[in-house]
Amino acid sequence: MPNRRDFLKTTALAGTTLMVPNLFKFSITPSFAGKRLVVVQLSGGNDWLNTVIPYRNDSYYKSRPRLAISPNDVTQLNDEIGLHPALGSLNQLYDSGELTIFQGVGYPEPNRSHFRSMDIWHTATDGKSHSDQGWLGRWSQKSQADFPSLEINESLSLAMKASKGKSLALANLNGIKRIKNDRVLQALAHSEKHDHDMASYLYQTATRVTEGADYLSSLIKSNSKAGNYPRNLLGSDLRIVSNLIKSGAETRVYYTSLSGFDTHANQRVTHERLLKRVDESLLAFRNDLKKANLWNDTLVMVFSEFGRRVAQNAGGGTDHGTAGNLLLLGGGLKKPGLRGEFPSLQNLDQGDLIYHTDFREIYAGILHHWLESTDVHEIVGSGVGKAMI
Amino acid sequence: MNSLKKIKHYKSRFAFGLSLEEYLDFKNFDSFNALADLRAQIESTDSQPLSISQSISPLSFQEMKGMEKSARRAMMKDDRKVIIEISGEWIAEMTNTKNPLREKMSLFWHDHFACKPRTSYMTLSYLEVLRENSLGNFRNLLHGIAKEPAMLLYLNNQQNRKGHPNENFAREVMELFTLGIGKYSEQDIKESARAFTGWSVGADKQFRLNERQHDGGTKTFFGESKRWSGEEIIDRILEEKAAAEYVSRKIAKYFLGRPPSDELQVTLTKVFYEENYEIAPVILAIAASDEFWSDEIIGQDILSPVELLVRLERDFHLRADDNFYRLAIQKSLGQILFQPPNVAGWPSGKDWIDASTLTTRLSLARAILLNNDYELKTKKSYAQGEDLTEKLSGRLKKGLQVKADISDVENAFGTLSYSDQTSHIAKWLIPETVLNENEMIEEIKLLRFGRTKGALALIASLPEYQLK
Repeated sequence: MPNRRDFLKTTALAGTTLMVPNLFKFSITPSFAGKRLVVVQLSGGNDWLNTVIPYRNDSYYKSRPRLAISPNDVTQLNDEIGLHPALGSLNQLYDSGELTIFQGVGYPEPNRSHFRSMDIWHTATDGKSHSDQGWLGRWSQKSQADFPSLEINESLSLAMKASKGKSLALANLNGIKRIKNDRVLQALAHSEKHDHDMASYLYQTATRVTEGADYLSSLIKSNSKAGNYPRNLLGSDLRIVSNLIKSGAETRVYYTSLSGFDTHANQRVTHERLLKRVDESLLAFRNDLKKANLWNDTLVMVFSEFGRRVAQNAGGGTDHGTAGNLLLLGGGLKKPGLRGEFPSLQNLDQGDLIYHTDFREIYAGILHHWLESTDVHEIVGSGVGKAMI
Repeated sequence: MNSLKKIKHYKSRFAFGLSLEEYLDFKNFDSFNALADLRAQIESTDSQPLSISQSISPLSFQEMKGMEKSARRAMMKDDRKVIIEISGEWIAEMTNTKNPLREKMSLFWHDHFACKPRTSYMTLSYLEVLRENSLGNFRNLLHGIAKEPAMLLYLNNQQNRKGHPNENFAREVMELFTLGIGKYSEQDIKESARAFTGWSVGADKQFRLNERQHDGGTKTFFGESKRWSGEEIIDRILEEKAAAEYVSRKIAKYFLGRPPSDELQVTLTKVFYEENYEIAPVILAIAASDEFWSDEIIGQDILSPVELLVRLERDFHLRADDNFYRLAIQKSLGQILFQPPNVAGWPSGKDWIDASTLTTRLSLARAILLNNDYELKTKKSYAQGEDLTEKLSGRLKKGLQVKADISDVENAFGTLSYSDQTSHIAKWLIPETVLNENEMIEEIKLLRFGRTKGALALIASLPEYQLK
């Protein structure tokens, strides 16, 4: 066994060595079907009521004299529900059976703080208890996933965290390259293991990070500009995800987010711009993967920490609300289309919509039907039903 | 056990690490010296409030209601800059104070009484209650914090009204501040919530008992029926020995990096309870315990982000025009003062570490000292008006913008051979249980960063530098 110094010598003199990332060696697990989940988090509380619109409902127009989208502008899905005019591509995907729209999604005793409500969505807890571990982190830990879950971000979201999970957060492909090219980090990661608990924990984590970065960077081909992606933050993040998927990465969970949805003021223009970004980015991603024959094995989940108040406020915006929608996109949806009833606009809780579908049922469905997890109830809690995906 | 090992361990747990001066000057050091030093700090009365250059006034919501929305937003934005300054001043105080124990315990209480104050005025008021009482009496601290506007608002007690109780405040007082889960019934929560009705915040941003919303009726709490007031509820909770156990265990865990042994816990509970919740005896008992000085404790905990930042401040004498680099480092390491993730406070130990926080930790020293091309990017914040870091992403395009001055290290070691310099720096900064300076010297020679600055940058890039 080479000692730590010998190793450092080689590493320092020879530059970066080619390590076999043994943590990520290919292993055949029976449940692996090549299916992946891509989460798109709309941060700030998306105004779902102006996203999926009850365009025949008088209460909607009465509550929002300045903000309501007129029936003529709505893209109609059926006689009652339509999409915001900025969501033309989603409308097409709805028609082709590649979009599921869950309605009335939320959880009991809704919390209207961004942070707390996001925590609840991230940890899939009942809203009364706190957890340091996210639902996807727990999945990664339970399933002993061989490949790192990946978040395109500068730090890991709570949803992805777990003490023994293999989740990585990287802001961009440069982040992967920077780790690969950092000779100090590489030398440390490859030095002999310590017998001191805490030190060896840090060295092992460093090894995991550099191996993960090596694995991912070895996959990335020069085609990083492929695909017709719009120039916005979500578009560029989804481009990274599709690059990795197309390069054969066996990572099963990807996490992206777009912020700015906290539209307390002058919502009309801001919200339209944001929805357009989501619409264009998702279409580009779908087309890119469809062309590569990978869309059928990809599931995109779009969520936000809450919807917004039914009534507009005095500043041309909306305040924090409760229930909303959750979108699934993909080529392999078993039950696409509108799911569940539109929540009542008359029977409100302090001016907010009342949920009827617990988001954890959708998580459970994704874990069971898509990620083929056998630990669903340990991840989202016992007694939670599983929605068909 | 040698003196260096002991003083380094003591300073890393009860202060913010060993300074270069202390490394050069220390002579014999034993647990006896540690206890004497702690006592001197506890008895010292020269605690000062933080000096904040800007004047801070209670923003009047009444006044603000009459303002244009844009003017109001600008005002709140300016006020958040003041919170960033308070946070920066506190970091500076932790770095420079002669009484690090006070700040170390204040940091503990900030986590224990986790709170996200909404304005600079409430931030400072909340922080000063923590700092004034951090080494005093837990009962006074608890009564003080329970009436802090920042806390009442954070735990929604404004919505706790007669006939329409909101149980959040009462629940957290028992679950997180005093007893821990399972030591009370749901009925106790319901009844005590009634006693806290009307505890609210006046226009002057001071505690105010709103008599009209206060439920003065009979409540049954811990089996006793009477017209309980909020204050009486708090005192009654502290009659439970479980409170002394829960809080002293948490203090011990903070200093030991792991829960205390059953034996030590029994002592701590007894001391805390019998001394009527005086905090100092608990601290002294922990420092006097055998387990504190054992190899199973030394070097087996991970610096919290704020502790790491204070070390970098002190080891590298950081200088900058403003406090943004401090905020940026806190953000990228996952602990922002006055922005705990939730009411349960921050993680600890291994939970600070994930792929990205670790790479940041191992790169920070080089980024600062060697101006490495290290990208400290942060995504845009998503909660307008709720988050101190909302302007960070734009500002960070220009880099961290912080300068180091390590002339004292160069003066101390610059004339020595490279190996000796490295050896000294490692002995100064790395816990003795993980110190293998010969290997480190070889390592650093091979990586060839050259001279004092390079040696310092590399030692501070080792995972061992993250340990205490």
